Amino acid sequence: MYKSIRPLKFFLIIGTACAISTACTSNMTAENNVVDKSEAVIAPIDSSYAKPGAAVRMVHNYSGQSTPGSIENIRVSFINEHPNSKMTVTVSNSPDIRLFDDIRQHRFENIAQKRGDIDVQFSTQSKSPQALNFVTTIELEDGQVWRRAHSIPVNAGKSGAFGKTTDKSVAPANVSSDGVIVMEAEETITTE
Amino acid sequence: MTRISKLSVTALSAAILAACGGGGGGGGGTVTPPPPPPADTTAPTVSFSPTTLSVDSGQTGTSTVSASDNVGVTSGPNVSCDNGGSFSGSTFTAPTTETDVTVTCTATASDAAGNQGSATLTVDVTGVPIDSEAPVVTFDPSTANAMGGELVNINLTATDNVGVTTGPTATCDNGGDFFNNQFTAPDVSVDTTVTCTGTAEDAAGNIGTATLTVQVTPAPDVLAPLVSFNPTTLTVASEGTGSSVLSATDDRGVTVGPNVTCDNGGSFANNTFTAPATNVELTVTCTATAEDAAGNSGQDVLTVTVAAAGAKVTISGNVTFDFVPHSNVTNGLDYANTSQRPVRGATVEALDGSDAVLDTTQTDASGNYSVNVDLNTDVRIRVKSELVQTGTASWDVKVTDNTNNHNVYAMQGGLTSSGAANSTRDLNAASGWGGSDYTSSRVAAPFAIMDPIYTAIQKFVAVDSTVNFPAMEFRWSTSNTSGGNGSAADLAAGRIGTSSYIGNGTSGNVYILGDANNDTDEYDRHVVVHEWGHYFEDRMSRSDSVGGGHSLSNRLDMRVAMGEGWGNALSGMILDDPVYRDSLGAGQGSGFNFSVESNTHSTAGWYNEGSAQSIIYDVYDSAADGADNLSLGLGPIYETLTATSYTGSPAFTSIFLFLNELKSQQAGSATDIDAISAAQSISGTDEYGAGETNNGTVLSSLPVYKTVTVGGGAVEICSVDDQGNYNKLGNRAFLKLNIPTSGSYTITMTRKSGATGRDPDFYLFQAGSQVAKADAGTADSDTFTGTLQAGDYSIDAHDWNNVGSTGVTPGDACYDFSVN
Repeated sequence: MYKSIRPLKFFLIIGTACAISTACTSNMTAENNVVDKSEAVIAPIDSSYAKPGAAVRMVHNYSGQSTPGSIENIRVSFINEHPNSKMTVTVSNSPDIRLFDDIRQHRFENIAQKRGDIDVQFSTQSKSPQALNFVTTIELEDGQVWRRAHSIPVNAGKSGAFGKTTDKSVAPANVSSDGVIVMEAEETITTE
Repeated sequence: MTRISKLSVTALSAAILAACGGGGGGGGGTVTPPPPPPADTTAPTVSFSPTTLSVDSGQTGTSTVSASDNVGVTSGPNVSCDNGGSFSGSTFTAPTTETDVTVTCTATASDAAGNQGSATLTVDVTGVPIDSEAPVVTFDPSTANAMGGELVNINLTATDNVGVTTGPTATCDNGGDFFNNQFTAPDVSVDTTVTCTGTAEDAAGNIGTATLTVQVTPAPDVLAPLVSFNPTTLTVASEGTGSSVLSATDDRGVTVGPNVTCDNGGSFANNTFTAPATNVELTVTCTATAEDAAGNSGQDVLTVTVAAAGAKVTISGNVTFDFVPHSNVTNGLDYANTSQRPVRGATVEALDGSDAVLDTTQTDASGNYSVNVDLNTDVRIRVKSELVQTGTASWDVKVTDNTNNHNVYAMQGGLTSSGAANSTRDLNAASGWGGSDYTSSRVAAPFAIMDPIYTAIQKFVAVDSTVNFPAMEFRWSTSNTSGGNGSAADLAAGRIGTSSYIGNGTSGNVYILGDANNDTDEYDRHVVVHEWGHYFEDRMSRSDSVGGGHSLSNRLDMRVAMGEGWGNALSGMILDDPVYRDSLGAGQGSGFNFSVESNTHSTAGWYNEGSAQSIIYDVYDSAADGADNLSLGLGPIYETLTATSYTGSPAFTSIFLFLNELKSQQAGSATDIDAISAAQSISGTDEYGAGETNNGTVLSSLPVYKTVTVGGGAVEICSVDDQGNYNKLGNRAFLKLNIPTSGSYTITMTRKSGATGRDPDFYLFQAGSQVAKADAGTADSDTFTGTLQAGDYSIDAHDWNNVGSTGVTPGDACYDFSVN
């Protein structure tokens, strides 16, 4: 995601996300004239060479860990870097997450608005890793439409046990003795 | 109904008149009762017709009996006979008698007055003698000898004094049969006596019988045992084995064998043939023999072809994967139109039961393969999601699972015997789509990712037959989601953020999303090629891009615009489809698109990826549109990006560097190149964009490079956030510097105007490699002092607040930049 030869500050990773609206202020003071660059930051959008899509950043204040059955209230913010555009955010979830708000689409009509906030209330009983999914759609004044998908991992199981395991289409990986992930092919055999 | 006679009525009337004084005489006289009616004295008339009969003993005759009366018959006619005769209805039945006798039958009838009439029938019965003699039944001859199964003609007859009414017929015991004057002896294994009884009957019920006695001896055994091999031919390897079931049966029983002898060193036991060792093909004949007690012998032959040591059979076939196209309406995936496409250039292995490789090859451009393995060996075919070639032109692309130790994916068939003849095994990787969601393994995904890369590689090989692509991986997993921060732990868990290329000039890999119902990219071929384009730029050419989010409407850092425009254009060139599509959302049913052929960009310029993609694609394609009259194809583009004058240029990678190099190589097309550049509002010349007039609404962005000289005084540069931050136009200022002589130099960047408390930083590059920097957190100034080699440098100078994220305060500030 990050190019290692580029300025190192771009590679610093923050431990927890920090919403722009909260007190994440510049830690540069006039007294010491020194900017504390030890604090990890997240690049505005992934610093990797990302695929094209809507230039929308998502920030949120979810801790990343829940108690099974507990109700979480989080704020998810979408920072729109497109000029003069309308933004729609579509919310969906993994099967074992319950969303308490029936509204699944949030529309931000103000073309000058650069940010849209969504309050999400949810809970999960499953200890398997889950996810809250968001698809942002940007409509430009000239009619162009851009989209990008975002995801917030939700974990109510063992702390740190990340990784999506709810995809029922995936059979447990079968790794051969020589380290190859083998999957069964549809085979037709004909003998001469 | 009782008839009342006229006499009675008259009498009654007279009586009534008399009672009513009808006789005159004047009143007061005695009534005289009428006289009673006269009594019925007439008997019924009875008759037989005829009145006489003549019948034989026991036979019948017919005579009609009737009775009538003046008043009415109240009883009869009833008939009785003497001398044993009987009469019923109108039938007389004579008694059985051997002597003549006369039978008299009398019929009587009565009326109400008791009058009785009668009639007589006289029957002369002729006596008939009684038959007590049974029919005479004869077998001729009455005795015989026969062998089992033999037919013997024997005459069965029956005669009777009166007449045979039933038979003659015969039944036999001990399995014998007699019909139509022919005796059939049963098959016996020991001497057996068969007795047949003949029977006939006459009309009197007399039954006559006769006996036939046949001594049956066993027939000679002339049937040989039936011996059989199944199958009767085999093909086995040298020192190999083959199975053939040997059986022997006999009607009387097998007493010897079956025994088998083989020639040419073969052997047979327990239904298994074992071949000798041989270096040449040879034929082995095995003969099985069995006998019965009579000495009859049967045999069969097994013919075995023994292949020479090392002989092989060929397993060939066609390998395909489920390809899912896009909907031109929704830009989502159109699963209903899934088709099979060949898996091209992939590694194919024939494995034994222990995953040892018996043979290996690659699929061709049509997906066909062929491997050779030993006869009668359990083999499975495995196809890896990798493209590997060594030699003059080389590449090594693998699709691996970043959540599973970066193991490569493969599809494989079942473990089946190779047999003794060539065979075909076709394999297909299924998409896993179950109609409304993925319901089974997404086997096709790795091969769908690999397919457009095969095309890309082949197109570059066509323009450079000696091209060597460094090894790289496409890392895909169904767990790859758009969450995460890009840490190593996140990547290993699948939180890759988005499909992207992560590299550093010496190595790099592409991560591909696989999050069903949110965002998957395995079938988004333009995405796959776009990211591979970053790999190409990074490893085959040169990229100075700082990455980050981007879109066609952004005014970007020129290095980012070039890199992203190149990736977009490349996807259109490789796939011969200028419409870039990306599916996402529930069921992968929605998405978006844009055309790299489009030349209309609201933010056109040297800082716009849309402009970069338009220019590069117009250089390539054969369609003349707008200002585009170029059709140079992929070759000149490849030559431009890989030229040492490009990769080693002191200038940063940008559309200026690209156009400058292209025009130097394609001088004859310079005018047309300038035309498409101008159409994108790009006027700068040389690799530094000298003379560029389009500032993209950011005044401080021009000139593109500010020139700073040693001891030449301060040059003003600015870092602004007008277009956003991190990788937008104006965040970073570019300078070019020439160091005339290697030595120690001091470079300073000091705030000149704008907000205070900023954090100026700068980085020095030579040919894209960072050689020096100053990025301390000192407010409003930063300094580098150190040794610099002689040469040309490009400098990236900025306010960290405009390229960082949280914890920063973006804003505008300008600085004095000097070198001493």
